[in-house]
Amino acid sequence: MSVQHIGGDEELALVDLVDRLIDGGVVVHGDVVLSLAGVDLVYLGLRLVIAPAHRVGR
Amino acid sequence: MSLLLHAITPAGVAPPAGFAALLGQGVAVVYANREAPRRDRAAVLEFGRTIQELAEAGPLLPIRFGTTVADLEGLAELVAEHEPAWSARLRAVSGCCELIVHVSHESPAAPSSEQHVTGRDYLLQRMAAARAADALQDQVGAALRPVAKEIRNLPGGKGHHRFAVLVPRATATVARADVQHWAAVRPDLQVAVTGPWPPFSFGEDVA
Repeated sequence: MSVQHIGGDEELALVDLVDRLIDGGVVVHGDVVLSLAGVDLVYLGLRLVIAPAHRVGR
Repeated sequence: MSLLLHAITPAGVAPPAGFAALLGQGVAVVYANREAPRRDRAAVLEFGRTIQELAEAGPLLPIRFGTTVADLEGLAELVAEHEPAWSARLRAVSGCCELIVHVSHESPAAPSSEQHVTGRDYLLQRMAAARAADALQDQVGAALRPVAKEIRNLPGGKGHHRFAVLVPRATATVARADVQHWAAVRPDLQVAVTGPWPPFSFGEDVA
């Protein structure tokens, strides 16, 4: 991902927010953890943010 | 019904409406009684709104989106196991927020197949590019250090570096301005700053 491909400060901020929500944060492991958003969500989430709004939900 | 974990806060912070908190000795984990969230942008942003609302009330450590546990007993086990580390990180991020600094530069183009470049020369060029990238990271780190309590490298791309910078919330505006002043004397770089954010990248000690 290159900054030049991000269209504007607001879009960059939105990408950063989604990126940090799904790839940041405290990671908790253990037998009691049922699910954890993983690699596929990182990819899917970033695609949804960068894609035009009318494509969300595809 | 499982528990969707949201954030770690100091004990005694009231969770927002619709949420609950499990208390440890000195920390609490804010959660919602629901299954794992949908894996779409709307669900991620809804989660983010809750995190930002919690961050306005005091220090917190966001938990990664989508983390669920089976029941309160399981959550209590996690708290008992991790509370000392979580307490330490809460103290470290108290009063702070995160800025994300993007630094982009032109990368040297890889030799085309039409150029006559020996294998040795190609590898030397690649090594030079890697050293230049490392040197740039060091320069950016040095520029950020006066305004930052902590700095973490985030995944970037070719010619694009990202840094998470933990700064005191009271001086976040000054920190952004300092970064932009530094960027003004580096016309070879494109620099952008986003935030302030809750301390997403500083939930764990990397020492």
